[in-house]
Amino acid sequence: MIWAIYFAIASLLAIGIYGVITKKNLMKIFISISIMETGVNLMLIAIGYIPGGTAPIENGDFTTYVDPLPQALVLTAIVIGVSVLALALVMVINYYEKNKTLEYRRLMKW
Amino acid sequence: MVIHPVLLIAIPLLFAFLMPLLKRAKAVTIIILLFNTLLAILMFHNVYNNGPLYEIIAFSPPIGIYLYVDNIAALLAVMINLLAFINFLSVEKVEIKFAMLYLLAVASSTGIVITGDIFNMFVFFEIAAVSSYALVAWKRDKEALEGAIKYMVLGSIASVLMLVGIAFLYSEFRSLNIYDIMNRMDEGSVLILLSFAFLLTGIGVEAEIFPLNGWVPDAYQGAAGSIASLLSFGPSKAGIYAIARLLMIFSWQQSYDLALSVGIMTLLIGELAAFRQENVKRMLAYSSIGQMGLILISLSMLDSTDYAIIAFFFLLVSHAASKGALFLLSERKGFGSNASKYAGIVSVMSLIGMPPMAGFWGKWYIIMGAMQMEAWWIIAAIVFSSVVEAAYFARYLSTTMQEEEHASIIAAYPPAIMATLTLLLGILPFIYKIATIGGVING
Amino acid sequence: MVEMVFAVLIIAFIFTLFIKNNRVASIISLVVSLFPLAAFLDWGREFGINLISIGFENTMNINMAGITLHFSISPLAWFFGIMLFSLIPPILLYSYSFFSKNDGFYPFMILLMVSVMGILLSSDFLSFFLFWELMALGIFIMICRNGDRKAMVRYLSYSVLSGVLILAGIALLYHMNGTLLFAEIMLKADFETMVAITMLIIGFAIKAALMPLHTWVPPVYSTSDEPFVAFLSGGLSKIGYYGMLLLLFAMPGARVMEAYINSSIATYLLAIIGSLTAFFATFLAIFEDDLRKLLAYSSIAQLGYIAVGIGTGSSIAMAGALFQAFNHAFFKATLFLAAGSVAYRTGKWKISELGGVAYKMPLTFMAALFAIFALAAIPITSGFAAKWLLYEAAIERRYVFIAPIMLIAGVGAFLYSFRILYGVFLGENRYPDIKEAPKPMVAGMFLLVMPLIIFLIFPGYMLDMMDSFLSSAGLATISHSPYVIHTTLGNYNTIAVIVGMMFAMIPAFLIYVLRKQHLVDFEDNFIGGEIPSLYEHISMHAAHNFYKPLKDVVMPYLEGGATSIYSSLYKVVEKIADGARKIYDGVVQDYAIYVMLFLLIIAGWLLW
Repeated sequence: MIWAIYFAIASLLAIGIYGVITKKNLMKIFISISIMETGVNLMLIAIGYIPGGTAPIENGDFTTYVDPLPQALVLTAIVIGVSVLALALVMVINYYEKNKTLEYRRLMKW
Repeated sequence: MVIHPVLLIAIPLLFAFLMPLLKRAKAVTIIILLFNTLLAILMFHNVYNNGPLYEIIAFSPPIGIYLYVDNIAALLAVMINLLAFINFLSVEKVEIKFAMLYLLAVASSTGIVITGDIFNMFVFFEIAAVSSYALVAWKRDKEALEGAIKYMVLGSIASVLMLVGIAFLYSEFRSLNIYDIMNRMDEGSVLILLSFAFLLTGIGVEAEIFPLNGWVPDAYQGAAGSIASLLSFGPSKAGIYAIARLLMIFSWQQSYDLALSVGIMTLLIGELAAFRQENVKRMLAYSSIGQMGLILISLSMLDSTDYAIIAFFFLLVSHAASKGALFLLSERKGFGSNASKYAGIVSVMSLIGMPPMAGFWGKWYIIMGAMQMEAWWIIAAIVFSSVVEAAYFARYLSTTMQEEEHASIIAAYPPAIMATLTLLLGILPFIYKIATIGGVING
Repeated sequence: MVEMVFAVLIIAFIFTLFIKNNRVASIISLVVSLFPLAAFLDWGREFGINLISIGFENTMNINMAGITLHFSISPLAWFFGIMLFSLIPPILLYSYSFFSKNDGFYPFMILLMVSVMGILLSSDFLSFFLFWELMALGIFIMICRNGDRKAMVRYLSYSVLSGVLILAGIALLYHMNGTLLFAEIMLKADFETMVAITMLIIGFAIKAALMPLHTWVPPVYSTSDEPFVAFLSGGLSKIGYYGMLLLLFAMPGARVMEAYINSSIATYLLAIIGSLTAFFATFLAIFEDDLRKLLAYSSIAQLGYIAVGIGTGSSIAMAGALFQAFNHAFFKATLFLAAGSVAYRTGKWKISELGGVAYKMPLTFMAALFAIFALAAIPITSGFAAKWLLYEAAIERRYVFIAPIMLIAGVGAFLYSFRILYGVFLGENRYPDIKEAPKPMVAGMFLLVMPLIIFLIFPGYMLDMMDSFLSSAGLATISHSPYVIHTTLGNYNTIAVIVGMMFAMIPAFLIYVLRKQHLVDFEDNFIGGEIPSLYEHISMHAAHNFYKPLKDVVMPYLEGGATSIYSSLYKVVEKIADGARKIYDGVVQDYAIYVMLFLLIIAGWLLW
């Protein structure tokens, strides 16, 4: 079971990297980055998971619960991811207005 | 008097979000940065007299936010805030959003330096990165946007990699406190080695080390002078300090060797790329890369020689102040006024390592240290790169000294003040004593 | 009291930075420049030479929380101090009229004084290197004032190379000895010490412009202001040799390896390089048309002689080298100042555009004439005594290669100095409307000529100044009286030399006066019967194609050389640099690939 999750994490990361490296469209690049972030978030959750644990909410009658810290980290990471993505979209819009295309073109080099 | 280090981060963050309510953005920002500088100086005074400062917020570790300030962290906090203050004086028209982003970048850079918690470091890195992306794109022209997008793509990949590294580290130690992890660190399993690789790659993007620094020339070229200056003394210096902490956690011979070889490559590639560059900002950006390599080399010697930490301190501060001044000067074609000429020459000479500027002591101690290690490769690399650096900086000076363009006071004096800082630090070199007494980095 | 001299200089430095008026700044710096001179004259008491007695302290330690700078006077430093600091006041007097406003010349001249004083007085390597780099910085700012790109790039690259090499050498010595104090460093005859000494000597040789490392000199000398170049060529270039002498002879620890040095090929190599420098630079000077470049090559050549003396290493050679350094300081400074005066009035630097200046500027001509006599080692000045000692040292050591080369270079020096005399000062009077240089400039030049004449008559005084250095370096002192130098190969008696010269000159003078002579038109003389209208005006100049037959023979061998090696090296570096730039190709996908590759490589390395 846990291996399936790790496999999923690995494939999400790989898909994201593949997308960043091969795609020329800026939207697709940022979508790929989002996919990578999802993969990492999943990974953090998986690390905190303890087999048979319940949600770390205090109600007095549980013995095993999953590690709460990674979940807190994931919340933070999701917020950061969203803000970065929002900023990215703003820039993509600006880029489109300036260049009339979403294709990545280099202006500055060497 | 007890100084709470958290104020250094909390106050600018608070005011950054209050900024839309307060109308006078420039005055408020200047007051906050000045206040922060004084606070950092007081904190440094405190740390210097009473030893390293710990602060725990909300919960006890490993859950709560944990701040740890030693001498060198306090000095870097002073440096970042002071330079941010001087740099902000040169911004002519301040919009509210600009001031917000600026404060965020400064606060988060300070946060990276004084935090004692690796996840916190990640969060501060992200805040610094997000505000830097926006600041780089501030001019909203094609170059600025392109630079910002490159920075953003690489920064996002870096944040993902860093998070992976943190996840590995957490799964091994069940703790995020840097000092907790450091004390329990041993030879290391596969997971620990992997987490080092991921963290180094992630932080390395921010710290401009080769080959993770593709964004550097484009972002610096696209950004306005004051932003490029902020990037060079803020997030990138915090990034290299984070690498110092990383090496402290993973203090194996292997990781120092790695830092050394990466540092030498960064130094050589950066200086060579700057050698033929015609665009001033891009040349300065490549030169920054080279200097970062030099700083990384000094870090790689931390384990072997006592000089390394002094060299690190001088190289870092000298580079922060001098490059800040040069990026501010790069806004105009020539130097124009005497104050700008003074700033330009002093900064360039500090980077090259001439006395009585701070860079001289950096060069002196790094070569002393390399010789103590009998590391001939380091010496050869430094000799070669210094000559290349001298050649392109002489070329730079020969063009900028000629161009006459009148400089307004607001444009001429902030770089001159920064240059004066490097000069003072060089004339009073015993400041290094203060930085290295007690905790140093491995407190 | 060392503190006081430093304090006065530094205050004057800051003060003159803010003075715009040239004359005020000149007078202030002139007065200030007398302080270190007085201090050095006073310190002569230490070495048995009572010139003036003020009672300056001569040691100082500055201690700043862990970093201590030690200063004290040594015999070698005293000799160089007298030489350099008596050069400065005349130059500052000269600049009273030369400049029209103070745009940074005076403050940085004072900064150079501070650095020279620091270098000479330092008795540990930290303060030595600190002030060495300060000097490099001061020179660079002086070059910046005129802003010639080639000069700036070449000077700064060389200077940084020299600085880093010296620093590496110092660091290696420190690593082996655990101390930076000159008094405690021991030079052993092992491999690492040799590496350190080699690095240091290469570093010093860059400042001293020894031959493969000289290419920064011509652009710098030909684009900077003359008063500064006079000090750079006359004074600061000697500091490189000060470093060599300090390292090889003056440091107490150096005596340990004396035997090694005397038998080693390394110092012979230094002498060979010195003589080849003198040889090639002389030929480059002979064919040079730009007056300043000619003087630059001449400086390189004359400095080569000093290296010969240091490399030979006997006491006669050392005396010759120091004597040569002293003479060169004064005659080359005079020549640069004279060239500056000529350009001040005519605005021209090319020998082919000048001519006949002596008719209107007789005093400048007189000063330049004495300097040229010293340069060409004609026994009306002290230049002869120095060269004589050097030849004698080479002969005594049976250096069959070096002595003839030096002799040829000496003849070459006569050839190019003749060209200066004839091309610039004599010949067709092309500038009938100019005036003599302003009085302060003339006074400055004549002050500089004075020592040359004094030490012609009393070469013994010069040897007095060296005695304590020679004995402290473990070399035999040379017995002498004020007029006579006694050496193993015979005596040098100035009275005899002067009387001999008189006997040679009186008949020449008589012939010149008594011979029936008539004035011919200049062009008649030159053309010799051909039709003048066929020629461009330029080719009528006396200095045009002056040594054409010689040039045709020699020039093919001089092409190539150091400059072309460096330019091909530069091209290689440019290619590599372009390659390095191509890494940053601006494609964000490539950058992402770099990140991933980096991750893979370091992960692989760490796991493996």
